[in-house]
Amino acid sequence: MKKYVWLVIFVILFSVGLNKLANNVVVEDNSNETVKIGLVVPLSGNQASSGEIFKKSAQMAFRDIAKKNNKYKYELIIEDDGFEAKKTVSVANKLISVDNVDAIVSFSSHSGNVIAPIAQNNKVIHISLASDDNIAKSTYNFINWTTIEDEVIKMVNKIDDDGVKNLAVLVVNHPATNLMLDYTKKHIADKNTKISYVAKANSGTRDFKTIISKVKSANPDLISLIMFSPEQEIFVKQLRELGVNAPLTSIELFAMSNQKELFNGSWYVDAAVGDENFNNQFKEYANTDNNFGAVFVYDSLNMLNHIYESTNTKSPEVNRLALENLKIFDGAAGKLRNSKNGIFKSEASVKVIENGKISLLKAK
Amino acid sequence: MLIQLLMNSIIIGSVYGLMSQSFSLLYSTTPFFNMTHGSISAIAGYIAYMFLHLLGWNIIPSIFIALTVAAFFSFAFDRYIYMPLRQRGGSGMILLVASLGVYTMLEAIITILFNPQFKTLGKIDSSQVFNVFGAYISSVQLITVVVNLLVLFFFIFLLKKTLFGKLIRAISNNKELAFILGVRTDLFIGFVFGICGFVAAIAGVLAGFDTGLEPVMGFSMLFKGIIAAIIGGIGSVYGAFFGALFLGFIENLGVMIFASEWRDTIAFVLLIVFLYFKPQGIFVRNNKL
Repeated sequence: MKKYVWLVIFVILFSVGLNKLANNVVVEDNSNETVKIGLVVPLSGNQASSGEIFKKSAQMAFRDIAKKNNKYKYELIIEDDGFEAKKTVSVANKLISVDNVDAIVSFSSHSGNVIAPIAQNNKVIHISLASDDNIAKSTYNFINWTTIEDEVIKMVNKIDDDGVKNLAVLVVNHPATNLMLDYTKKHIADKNTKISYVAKANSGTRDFKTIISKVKSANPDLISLIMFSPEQEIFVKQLRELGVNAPLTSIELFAMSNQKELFNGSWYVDAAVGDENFNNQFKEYANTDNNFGAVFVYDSLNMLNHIYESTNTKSPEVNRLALENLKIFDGAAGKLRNSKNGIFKSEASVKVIENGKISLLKAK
Repeated sequence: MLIQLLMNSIIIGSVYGLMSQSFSLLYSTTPFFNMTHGSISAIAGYIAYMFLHLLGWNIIPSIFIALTVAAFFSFAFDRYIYMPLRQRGGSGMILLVASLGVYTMLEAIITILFNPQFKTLGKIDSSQVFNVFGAYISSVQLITVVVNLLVLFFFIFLLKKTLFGKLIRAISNNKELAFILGVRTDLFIGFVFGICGFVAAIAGVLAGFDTGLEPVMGFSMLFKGIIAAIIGGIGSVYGAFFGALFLGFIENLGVMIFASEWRDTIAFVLLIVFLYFKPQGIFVRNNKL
């Protein structure tokens, strides 16, 4: 009996000792920490086709990031905000509080403006693919897109070069489009072109016939149409029905249309385009010619990868400071220059639509 | 520009007119603001889209099925939702809330089934355009104007020259008395729902060809139709017809003078002015159809 008691005591002591030993042994941990990046894009609604492009570009970026010798693992979490502000709030909060993302990339000014305060309050880096400078006002928020003002300057210069004397500008009421109108008025002031007619319509307007009658009276050489879909499609349809055949131009928004053949023959100013290598890769990967905005998603994710790998920490403050101090980033869209207020600038491009397809306008 | 302004007013007035006439007739028999009436037009548009574009059917049968199914939906909503509520003594407010619930549900179903992306029934740039005394009108818009007129004649004929119309007018004047005299009021109200649903469906399909389809399209069409009906005299199809044209003209005049952003504000101001100064509308005397 005594023998067995000693045996039991020995087994217990041995187990305790073994456990203590195990806790003190340093086992090399081979698993990397994961950097989680949330992508907020419209995968439903009127902008779903653009959202799909961004999604594909993000997946391609992660494919390329995975090929590098990274210290961290990278995880992409894609959420659909349907291009609606109330959904954007909901998905942003979900990414931050449930998925614990380290950074968010979002598309469009209205999503960017909604996410910016949420990201700032939660110390999450936010890169917005949008042209509204206000988004980047706070320290955790950045913009990677060609600025509205640069796009407007490009458009105004081209209008002046083309000898347009009389311009009509039609916009739908929205902060970004109103800003485009303001910049147009500002930069066209010292050109030979006169703005003969300006009209704003509310989102949801479906009857433009009376506005168009006034456009007709103004007899413009060119119409700058800055409306989202479906307003821009309905407007053009009614424009042609009322016998107004003036050429059209826009800033970016033609690219978002699902009926691009309506804009055949029209040139417009768009954000920067990727280099040939990127465009070919994306075309093969996504199986589409439409690469609107794809390069910005790609470069934004690669920028985040660069930052996290160079700082060697997941600290939000360290990484946000590193991004803020990143002067130039060599991206697929060329050299992205940090304008020191959180805005990474790239050069606007001029594109043309023929047979429903978009291509770069060839210089004369 | 004045001629085009008048033409624009007639075109948009005709769109409003289809909704206002059908709403007016509906309201005369069951006096509550039926929000579902707007979604009937959306249902018709999307059913037409489904047959025309997804199943590849010919245009005529696609439209016919869309109109018939939408009318049936309208009849069914009355039969299985509003009639039971009426029989239990439900007030106009209860019926309104019920109709709002049905509208919300239908909008969500359409969004789930077809997604909220904008769609068109025809190719958006394929309308033929006519020049009428210097004003332009597309073929779809011309059809809308003509159909609006035909609907007015149809309703006048129906209400004045048929037994069915007599019974509807009787129900409109005094539903309880009509019931006591042996009229199957609930059945006839159901038929009115069906007929008015058919007319609202026409508005939806024509809008689908002209300006496109969206799940929320029914609400704005109905709202303008209600304003037009109130202006003209709620419960009167004449009033609804002319009220719609008047609304269309004032809106377009406002856009011409001020800006397009003021369109909806102008409509609301007009509504308030009429509710304040002439709540019975322009054409109604003694609340008769």
